[in-house]
Amino acid sequence: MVAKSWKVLLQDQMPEGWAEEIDVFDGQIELMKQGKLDEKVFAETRLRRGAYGQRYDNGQRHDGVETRALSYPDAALFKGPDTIWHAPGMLRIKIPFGGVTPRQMEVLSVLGQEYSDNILHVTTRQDIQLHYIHIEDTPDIMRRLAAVGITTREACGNSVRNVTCCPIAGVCRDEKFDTTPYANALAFFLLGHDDVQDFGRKFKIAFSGCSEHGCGLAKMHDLGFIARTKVIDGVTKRGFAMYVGGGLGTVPQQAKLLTDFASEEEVFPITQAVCRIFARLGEKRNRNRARIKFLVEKLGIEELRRLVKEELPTIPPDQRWTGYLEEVEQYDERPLKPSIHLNGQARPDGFDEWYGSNVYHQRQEGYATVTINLPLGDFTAEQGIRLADIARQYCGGHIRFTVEQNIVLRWISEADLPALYLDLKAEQLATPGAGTIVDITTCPGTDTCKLGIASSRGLAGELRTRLTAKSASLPDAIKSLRIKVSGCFNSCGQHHLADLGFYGNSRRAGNRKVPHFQVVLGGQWDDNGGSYGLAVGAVPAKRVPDVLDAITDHYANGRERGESFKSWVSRLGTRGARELIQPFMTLPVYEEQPQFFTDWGDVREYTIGDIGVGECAGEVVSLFSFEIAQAESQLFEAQIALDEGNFGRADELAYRAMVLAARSLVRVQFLDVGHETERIVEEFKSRFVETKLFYDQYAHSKFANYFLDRHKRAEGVVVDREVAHHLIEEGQLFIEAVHSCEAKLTGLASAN
Amino acid sequence: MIPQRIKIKFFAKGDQPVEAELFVAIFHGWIRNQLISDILLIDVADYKHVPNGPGVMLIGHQADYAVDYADGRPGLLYVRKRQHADSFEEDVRLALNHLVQSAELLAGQLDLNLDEAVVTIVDELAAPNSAETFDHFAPSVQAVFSDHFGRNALVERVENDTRLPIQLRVFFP
Repeated sequence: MVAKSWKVLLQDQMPEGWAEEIDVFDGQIELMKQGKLDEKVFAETRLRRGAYGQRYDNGQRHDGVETRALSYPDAALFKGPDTIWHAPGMLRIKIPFGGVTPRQMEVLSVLGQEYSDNILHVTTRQDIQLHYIHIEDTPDIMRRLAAVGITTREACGNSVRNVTCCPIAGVCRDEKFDTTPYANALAFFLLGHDDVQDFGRKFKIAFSGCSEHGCGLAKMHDLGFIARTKVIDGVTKRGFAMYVGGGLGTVPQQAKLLTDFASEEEVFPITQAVCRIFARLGEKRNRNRARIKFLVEKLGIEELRRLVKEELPTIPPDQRWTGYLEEVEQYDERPLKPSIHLNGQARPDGFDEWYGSNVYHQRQEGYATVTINLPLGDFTAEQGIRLADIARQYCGGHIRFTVEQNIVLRWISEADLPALYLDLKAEQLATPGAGTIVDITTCPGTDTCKLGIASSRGLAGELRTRLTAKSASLPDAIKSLRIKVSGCFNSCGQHHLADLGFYGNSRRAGNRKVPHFQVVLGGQWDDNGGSYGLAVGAVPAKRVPDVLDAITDHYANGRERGESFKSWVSRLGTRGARELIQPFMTLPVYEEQPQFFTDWGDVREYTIGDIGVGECAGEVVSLFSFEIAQAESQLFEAQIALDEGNFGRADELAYRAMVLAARSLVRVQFLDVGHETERIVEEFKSRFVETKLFYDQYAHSKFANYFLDRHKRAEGVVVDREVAHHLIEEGQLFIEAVHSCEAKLTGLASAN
Repeated sequence: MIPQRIKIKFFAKGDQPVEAELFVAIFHGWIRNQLISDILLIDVADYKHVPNGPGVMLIGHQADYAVDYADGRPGLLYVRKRQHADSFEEDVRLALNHLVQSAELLAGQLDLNLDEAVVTIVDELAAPNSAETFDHFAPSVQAVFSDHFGRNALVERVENDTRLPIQLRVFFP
């Protein structure tokens, strides 16, 4: 049996440029293994390709008795500061607007089997995460994803993360219009864009089709879009209200209104302007204050509006600002089957309960969107494969992941619901209670996250089990509550938006630590994440179920007619809420309650010693360092081509490496140089060669001439081994000279 | 060639339910005492909440273990994933040895039927789920099991979804 490589098999099967990007990353892996790349640069590089670290990747783990070293092979090899090469990591896979085709679902599932633990995890940002991945497997995983149009690029790191969107965009009864094609177009417009490469922190974008519901959560994002229409000169124009500077994290903030109406033609340039301002003025040294929300706070929204207005005319025009509208026009999600109402069909056992919670009647008559309520956002590869088939059979393959860590199937003809229910049930995918109190959102927490303080998944699993057991007897007012759990104060579980939110922390009892959760009440999901909950006090993790019962009982018995939980919490006030949980806040005594000193789902005595350095903040790497690393990887690829006897390709790659290196230097002075080689060469010549900035006191202009001579080399030159080899050597020297020049410029800039 | 992953699973005897919860503590103990020689044991991953899922997993560097519930049949699963042996046959032998070793460690807590196993070869590129793949790998699997247990093993292909990895059922008549 002859096995080719995925690299060879798939190189022509992916969007333009993607194969090369992945090959460059593959090359960087090799360079890192050879110790030829800076750890921080590689860490940021892999983060920008979605390859994240996981808990214990510093090689230390507390086993319940003491912290012991994990004896990985090649222990001196690292993939980032304090991150051991062979330690399992996580791969985050971007799914713009959460939408996947059945084919994409199949590929994701197979990858979960082949490289991970057979589990696919839906995140609170509509991504998929695979855990326990080895860094050396990531290029092939990326290739296989790319071949079906999925990227991991900028899933992590200091750039634009996944663009999310209401999972019922296009079928929602209340939306202004379908925001799906806008979310998709913006996601790919910004992917790898020059203006998003120099952020100090991550940047999250969300789209919502309406103001009143929560699905899009536009107001808690760095940049949020809410669909609007406006009549201009008698014509109804589509556009968006744009909000900027929202975010949860340690200090949650509501986004501010940047503009109440930006037309379809304006949203891309305005977004670009915001990104450029963030890159230029955003904090980069203090990671804790580097999100755009802090910049908005510092400047004020009026000043930001002024800066955006000032920035717009400086941006080189881009035909994609309006070019995407053609795709929007053509975007048309169609059902597979005609709509037929559910009229008297036999209803299987369990159907009614499922129908009551998991089925949303679309605005398109006779169609429904079905939610698959996943336990803690997890499903197996086998379930994924079957779901692909089910989606093909019932709805034309329209599948989306949701920020509540579920899956929706859209365009189900209502008459098919009983049969669909049975098919889902056969795959254990028909759990009722979607969007109710049993449908708990949680971040990975201490299971895999280096920053986790307490076990969010352990707690969520326990609450889910208990609530499911008694859900039939819960009053409707309780059933409709939302619970969200985060493993720490960084809010990846979005606990601020829940009716009942919890985030992990710890307290000392004697000379031991006890896992705790801070109780946060009365967050608002509606109104696009309209307001944040009130922190009322921390309780031991093992008391949270009792706290939940106390609060919900009190609410059920004490609420006024029709009073929402949020209103009830407001009426109760901080003091009242605190009094409610006070009896549960007492610190346990180890000798009497040893079970409090272990966390949910764990048997080890609890410690905070396993908390590591998170990678969510990425690495502070200068734009130049990041970009010159790409040039170095390209040169490495050239060397490989030379070794393989592919001299023409080696020559071409070496030349491209020099172009990239020149570009990285030009961008130190001029960010908008673009990607056209002629422009790059001209700017390099005028800024650095003619000014003698790129000049060696002994070699004079020799290194610059290596590049310029190759650039103007006539067509038809026969490239043999010697020619290719020379160019690679010259390329290396050119790159070294670029480094020296940048260092000189930076020194000059610091001196000034 | 060595596939990306080789999995071997023995099934629990009888119809008694297997309580995955018990194995959380057991696997943490294995890590504390590094009980499996030449496998670096790293962490426990709890997937009890996933129906017919991997149950409770013990994540290692070279291999993972799981008290696994795929297809509704609980059992002990071993997944060889790194530092493979020099040949497929040797890798299966290595995997089987580790699995049997861990089965012995779990004696009394998880009763396994050693007369039947499923070997899963996970590598879409090098081992697509096909008759050709079965013909290529089955003899090695048969040889390893026969050799280990000292009696003639039979191997048949499991009829499963060909989008999923190929599975070989090994049994002793």
